[in-house]
Amino acid sequence: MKLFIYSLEKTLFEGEAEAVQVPSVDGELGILNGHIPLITALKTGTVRVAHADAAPLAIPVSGGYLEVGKNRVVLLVR
Amino acid sequence: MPSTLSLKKKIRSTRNIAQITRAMEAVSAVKMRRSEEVALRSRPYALAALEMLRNLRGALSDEAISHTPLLEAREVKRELLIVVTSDKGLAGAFNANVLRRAEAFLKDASAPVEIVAVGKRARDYFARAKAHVTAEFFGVGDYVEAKETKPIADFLIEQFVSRKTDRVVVVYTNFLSALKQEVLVRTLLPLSVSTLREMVESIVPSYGRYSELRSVKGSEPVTEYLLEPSAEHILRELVPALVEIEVYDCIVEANVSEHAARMVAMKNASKNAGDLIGSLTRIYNRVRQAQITKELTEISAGAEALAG
Repeated sequence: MKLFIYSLEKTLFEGEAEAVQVPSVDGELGILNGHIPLITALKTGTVRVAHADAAPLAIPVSGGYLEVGKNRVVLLVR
Repeated sequence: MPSTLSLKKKIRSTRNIAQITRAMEAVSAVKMRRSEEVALRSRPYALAALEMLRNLRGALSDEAISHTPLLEAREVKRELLIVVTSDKGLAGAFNANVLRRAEAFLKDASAPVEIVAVGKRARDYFARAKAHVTAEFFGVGDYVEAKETKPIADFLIEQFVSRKTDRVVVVYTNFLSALKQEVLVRTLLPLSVSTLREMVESIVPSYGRYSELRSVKGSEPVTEYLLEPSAEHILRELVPALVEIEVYDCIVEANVSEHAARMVAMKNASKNAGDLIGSLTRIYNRVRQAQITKELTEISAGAEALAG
């Protein structure tokens, strides 16, 4: 799936990812390929990105939003 | 006729000024380019947030949308005007244009208007005009950070939600190109999707290096979203974030424009200083020659008088 992680000041991640784990307001949420469309708010925590060709990425966030579309995941973080 | 000594002094000081203006021009050019990049970096975020809002709308009734605090259009009894200027001067007509536009807005306003000054220039201007300034913000750095503009956004949201104001309008300078900036008046609150879209699209300058980024690629629309915890909850959190984006964007644009305006002003100043040095040098040479001629005539006249 294509993953985009943006903050107001910069683009944190853009590209192909295997999985992403986010701290949603209802608890930790793992998104894999083919997840159903979803919009949710995030709370403070760490976003973890797993992708094939590099070490996993951990981005600390203090809130934001997650949108899962068709094979496309957008994260807006603060 | 001025003395050669005073002319020499004048030439020297003009040359020093030219050196300073040239340096300022170079610095502003670099700062302009860098802050332009800062402005563009917020664009993917702004676009994605807008798209999310659009996707949310499908899941919400019109009633729920119109009852969200920051989207609710009320009868305008009191207004808030944010005037975005710079902290420092020497930027040509940059601040004067914004202040003139703000003055025009104040004159035409039908409801009482309170002023929020952003930048020292606006604060000083309204202090001199003895206008009442509700709040002032300054010291926003050259490369604006979101945490610097957040207090401004928070203040505006607080004022609007607590019904101290019914409409928030901003006067700021939008960057079009290094040579062209325009002063815009925009309604920030109540938030409307059309002004947001307009704003996000204008993040990209109309000419120059980054103008090719203007076209926006749309993504495949999804109609059925799972919303957690609820559409209303997400909307309530997303809308303030959009206001933050708007405020951030206004200030970043104003910052880019400030550097562009200063660059052009300093370029003109350097050119004028060059012209001034030229004409002063010409006068200096003429005075010097006149003096030599005078001395020669005196010597020859003296010699003739002795011989005679």
